[in-house]
Amino acid sequence: MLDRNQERRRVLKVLGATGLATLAPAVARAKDAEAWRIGAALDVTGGASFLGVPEHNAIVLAVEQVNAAGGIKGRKVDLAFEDSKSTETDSVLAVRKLISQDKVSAIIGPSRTGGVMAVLPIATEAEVPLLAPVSGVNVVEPVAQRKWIFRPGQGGDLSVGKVLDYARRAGWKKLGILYSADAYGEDGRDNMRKLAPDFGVTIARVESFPPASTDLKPQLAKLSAAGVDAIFMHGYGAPSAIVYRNAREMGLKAPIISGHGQANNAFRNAVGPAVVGQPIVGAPVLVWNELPDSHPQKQPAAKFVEAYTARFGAAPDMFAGVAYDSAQMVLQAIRETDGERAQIRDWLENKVRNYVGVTGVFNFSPTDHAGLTRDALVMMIATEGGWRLADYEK
Amino acid sequence: MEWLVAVPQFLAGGLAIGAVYGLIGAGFSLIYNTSRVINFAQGQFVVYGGLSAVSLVANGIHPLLALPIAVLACIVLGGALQAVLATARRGSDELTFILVTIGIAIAWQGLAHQIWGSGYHTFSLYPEGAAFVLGASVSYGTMVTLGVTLLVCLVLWLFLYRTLVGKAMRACANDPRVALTVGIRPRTMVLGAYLASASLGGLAGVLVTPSLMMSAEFGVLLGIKGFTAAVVGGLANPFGAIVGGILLGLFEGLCVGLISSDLQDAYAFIALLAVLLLRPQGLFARKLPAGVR
Repeated sequence: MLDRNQERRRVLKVLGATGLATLAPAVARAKDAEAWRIGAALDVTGGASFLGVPEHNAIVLAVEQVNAAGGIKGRKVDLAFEDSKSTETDSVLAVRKLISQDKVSAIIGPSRTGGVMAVLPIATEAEVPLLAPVSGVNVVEPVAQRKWIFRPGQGGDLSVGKVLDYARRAGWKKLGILYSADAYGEDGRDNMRKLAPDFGVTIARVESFPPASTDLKPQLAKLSAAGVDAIFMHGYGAPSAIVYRNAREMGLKAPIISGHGQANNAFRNAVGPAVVGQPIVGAPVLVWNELPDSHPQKQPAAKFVEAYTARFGAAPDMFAGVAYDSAQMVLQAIRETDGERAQIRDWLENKVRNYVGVTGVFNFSPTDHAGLTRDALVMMIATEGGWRLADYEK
Repeated sequence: MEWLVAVPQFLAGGLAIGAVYGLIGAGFSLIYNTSRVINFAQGQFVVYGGLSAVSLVANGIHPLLALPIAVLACIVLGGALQAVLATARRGSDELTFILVTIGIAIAWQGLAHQIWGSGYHTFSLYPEGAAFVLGASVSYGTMVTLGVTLLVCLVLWLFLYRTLVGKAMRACANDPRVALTVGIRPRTMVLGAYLASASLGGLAGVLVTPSLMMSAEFGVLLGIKGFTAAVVGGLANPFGAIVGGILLGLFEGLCVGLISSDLQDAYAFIALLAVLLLRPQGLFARKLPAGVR
């Protein structure tokens, strides 16, 4: 529905401008050919819509801003959007449509690691640069097979590293893993298994839950019985909030530390007081006002949060930030090249060096298509109303 | 084996969600009995019940008042669904109706999405917290849900076995044509069944939302679990469906606890397959003699 409405609106606009209904189709094509056309396939519906909606907002904002400033080289920027609906199938359909019908020069999305894994071969074969605002490590590795894929999102390995760093500070030796049984959760589990030994942490028990789970007490009971110091939870959506509520009802002693899947307003609003005091990996954009002035993200985040809040009436979360950075990079690539697909790809790979975004400082290279380091993440502590920066980060 | 101590916890978790499956399943059973239609829009009643309550409470209405209003909203939906089905040409078979319910379920899901957005919502109906039974944490929400489910069983039994309308409904379920000859209008009975199962679905939604949260997307999975509950207990018997739901919940909880959590949603379907293959009439329905449907 959304895309059709957009299409209709686009056509209507052209109709109004020319006033020549009979010539409309031809004019529409001509107008569209003049605009720079970038694509977004995001999960604005379905289980990952809490990611897709703010991401879509952020990209709309970026495009509106550039068009308000006169476009690029005198041409407007046109956003072609498709809903990837939080499923692999719809992700594939959305990306195919963007490539073959909308003929976009670059694509941002889909919102989930699983969706991106599904569309990798399509973007690669069609030679369209794809910027994935996700965390999965396999999205950009092995890099030789991921020539057209870039991942501006905070990697799962970075998030897990941040969790382990916290574990070391807190003196936790024995961790349990609770992950959602999908690509995102498995990525967290695998990274944790791989990195834990480096931090002197052992994994005592591993449990999973389906992405539409409604009760997680059995899993929590098993983790608790294994005598873990803390539980690392890597999931998203409603079940991740249920975890905290169940844990509180059970009087669970072990703290729950979570990856960045929880650093969003939808989670915070749904979980209520059950999460207060628990550590959550987040991004500078969420706690920008607590950051020291020297922090490279303080100024960009402040500007972005202000513009986004003014436009959408609510503060952005970290996913919005990643999508905004992705859009800005594509726009910058178009500015500095002729906007061809291959040129945008080459620009991303070679020109994104110490690129200061809202999310972090990005560096892409021919051997690394994951742009960020652990500095792009911060540890937060959930409070009554939201979150605060963990003291050691200040 | 240190986690064997957690078995009561596996059962407690299963009990809570099982009661909800049972309420949804009883709705399937009521409609199936009077019209031989499997109403796949049943899960949507749960969503609309839960999310209406969320909206009402958000607008300052007391949760205890929001409950009956939300259930009433579902009853209206149930009536609308039946009205749509009633326009079908005379002689349409059950399969047509079943497909229509699937279509309506998809349309309603889209509508719920437009109204409430894509996030998950909650409100508070009962105090948060839990009591400990045999070392297992049983939340107040679970107790309220179980209590209400028992109450529903009682009311349903009184209705079906102690009122004239209930008797007429049972007669209609038994044989609509014979019922017609004694002056019972099967259409009215079918409408009654739709209204009753919509209210059961809505009630399940209101009960489950405070502890598990609700989103426009949940209807499909909850509907399938409820359907499984009804099949396990025997589609012909609404009380069987409720017991079937509780058994299904306990089975899920135990399997997750003792085998593996990787397959949480698969266990329900394993149970469904096993029952369909080994005891297709369900655990609590009498086997029908050959020649009778």
